[in-house]
Amino acid sequence: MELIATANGNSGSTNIQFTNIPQTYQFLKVVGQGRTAVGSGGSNPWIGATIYFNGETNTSNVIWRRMISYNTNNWIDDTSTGPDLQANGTNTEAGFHGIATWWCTNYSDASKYKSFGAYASGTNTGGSFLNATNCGQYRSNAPITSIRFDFSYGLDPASVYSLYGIAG
Amino acid sequence: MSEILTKVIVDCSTGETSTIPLNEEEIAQVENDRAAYQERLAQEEADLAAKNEAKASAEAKLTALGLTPEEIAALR
Repeated sequence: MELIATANGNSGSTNIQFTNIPQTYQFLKVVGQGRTAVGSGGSNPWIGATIYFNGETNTSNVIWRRMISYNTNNWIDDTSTGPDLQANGTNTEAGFHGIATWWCTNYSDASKYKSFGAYASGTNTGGSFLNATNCGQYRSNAPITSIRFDFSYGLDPASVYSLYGIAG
Repeated sequence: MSEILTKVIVDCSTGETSTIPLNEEEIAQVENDRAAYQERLAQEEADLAAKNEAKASAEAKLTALGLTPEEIAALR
């Protein structure tokens, strides 16, 4: 596994993008932690990044399914299309960042849809952790050359996301 | 929206990082995404509350039928 690039948040940066991704690996993996300026939204102000590929401005080619567990709630099958790379909000426990791992198994294949998965965790205002497991698909045959993780709210400077390539 | 919103772009071919202010179209997208996030969060919390309420109601009915807590737990 080789580090390709690292992106750091700063106040006001609502999204991070990796562009000109080399097509020489078998798999891609992103590991990161995030804390955003989202300060409202009830008792669970974590936010999951929306993922865009190849400069697209909508997610019509992207689908997600997920399972969630947190607090006293057991497993939930969620059939919404919401992605989950959790980043904590400002009114969660001080200093806590949401953590996430995302990977894609065939990003450079020019003849198939792309499959990916993600694990992520965040905390709510009561200190209960949310854990989410996600499966998704980029329904395009285009190789993935750029990825944008969009949190909608500004990431703090300690937020960091690193992109790795795996030879397979 | 008074805050200055930016995007961080890392060019993997050069390693160069750029921090660029969002344009009007991108800011509009952020506002839409924030609204969608708030709506989604509220819906999730409402769904969970409804599920927990239904669970408590079902357990109360089972208890009224004479099931023990251990027997109810075995059904999960």
